[in-house]
Amino acid sequence: MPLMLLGVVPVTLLFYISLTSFEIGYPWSKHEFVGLANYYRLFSGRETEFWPALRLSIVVATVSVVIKFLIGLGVAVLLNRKLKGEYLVVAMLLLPMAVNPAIAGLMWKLMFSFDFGIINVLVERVTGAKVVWLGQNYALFSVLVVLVWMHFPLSALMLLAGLRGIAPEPLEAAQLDGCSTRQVFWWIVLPQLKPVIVSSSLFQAILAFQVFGPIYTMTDGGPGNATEILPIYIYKAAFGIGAMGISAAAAIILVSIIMALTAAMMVAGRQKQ
Amino acid sequence: MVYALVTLVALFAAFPVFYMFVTSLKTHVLLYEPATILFTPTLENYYGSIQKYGLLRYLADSLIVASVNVIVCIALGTIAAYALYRFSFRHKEKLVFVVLSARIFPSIALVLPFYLIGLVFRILDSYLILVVTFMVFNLPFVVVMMKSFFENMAPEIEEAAMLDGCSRVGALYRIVLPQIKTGLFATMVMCFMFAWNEFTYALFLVSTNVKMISTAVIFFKTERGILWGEVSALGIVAVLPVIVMSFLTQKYIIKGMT
Repeated sequence: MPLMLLGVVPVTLLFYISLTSFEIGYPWSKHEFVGLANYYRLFSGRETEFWPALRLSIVVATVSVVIKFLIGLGVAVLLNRKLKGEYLVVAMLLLPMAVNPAIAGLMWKLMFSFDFGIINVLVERVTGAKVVWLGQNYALFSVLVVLVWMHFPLSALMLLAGLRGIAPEPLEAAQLDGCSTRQVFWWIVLPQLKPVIVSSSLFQAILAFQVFGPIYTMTDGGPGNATEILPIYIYKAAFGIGAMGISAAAAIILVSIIMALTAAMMVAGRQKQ
Repeated sequence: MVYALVTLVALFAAFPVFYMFVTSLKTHVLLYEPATILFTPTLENYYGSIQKYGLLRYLADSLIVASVNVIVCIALGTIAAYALYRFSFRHKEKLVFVVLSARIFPSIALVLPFYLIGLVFRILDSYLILVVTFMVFNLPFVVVMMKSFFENMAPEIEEAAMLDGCSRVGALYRIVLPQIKTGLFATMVMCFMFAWNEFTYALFLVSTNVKMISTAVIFFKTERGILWGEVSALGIVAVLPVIVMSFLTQKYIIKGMT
């Protein structure tokens, strides 16, 4: 079936590009086959920005997944009862995901802006001084705020669905036997929620590794390399410097990470059944 | 207490959009007062982005690319999903997985081979390349959605129609599709949202011939910094249709997520 070509052809081609010296500005016919040289350049550290970018991607993914999970769980517990206006709340929670990520990045850039930003107005009122949110010290923090904002509703809604799938009888029985609400949550609810926690966290990690638009519009990886995660590195290598071969090798590494996480998610999903 | 917390969370989620909307209605002078929320709104930023920055052109191009892409994906995806649902063949599960795997690949990685394809076939900076590349994420989505709709349907009705003399295509068109009308519509709307919002391919594969609304905002940088009024106006125009659509399809979005 030709549908198979959708993913297979571009990835195969990407892998082939990663084995060549192809550069933007030269015709494709001029490319040379260089074997694994691009990968060697990346791993040996000759491309000095690669390791820091990969490391930063791992840090961003880990930290943001943990925060998204904690906030998501809190929100899920809050929403897990009969609430008036639930439809409206869910509609508002869906906004961060519905909004174009690149425009979301700009919205936050506006809010974090030194002169025009609402955040600095509040901060100045409390502490008496403005903060350079997108400067060297706070840029990474600001990016994390945006990533959490973008995707915490996803965790919240997945965990909420998980909570609602738990049968109420054992919980009531435990409470009759004298368990406190906290004990019931910790010992009965959380273990049952584990499959959802695992799959939503892995999915969040996948999203965090591929995030590109909001960081591109907010900081463009800067200042310096402060927020240069792997996708930003890939785009800069390809469309900034023009080194398509190097960029493709880095992209293959990104694809491998995402495929590994997806495989883990599928294994976890199979255990659930 | 619970309501206060829930309201707080909902406001956190919605605030950036609200703030951008407020900013889009401010005069240039008022931009320097970020905390001012009550003021006489002006539409000058909207006029400005239409007249000076060709907002309508961006809207038109996004509309063309997204619509054509949705039509193609729905047509091909429905047929593929129907085939997967109706016929059994060897390695079906594996095949489904390969088709779906296209969706998980990051666009920043796939944009490189698509750039090369565009370069070799001389279709960079055209509607065609975006319509084709957007299929990578939308077509698998249609296949999954439609397959699940087909599976939720009673097969007897379709079989009865075929016994009564309907051809397979006739049965699909007259009996099956009307049953899944709402789902089909929701799928189309969501596909449209994905295409409308796509950023990476739109940024690197097209430039002067095709101008997508999702990338328009980044061209508003001048020597004096970003034109926040105009950027906000354009951002609001770009997100408004999507917000409306997400309200319409809320039920399906939640279902797809969980």
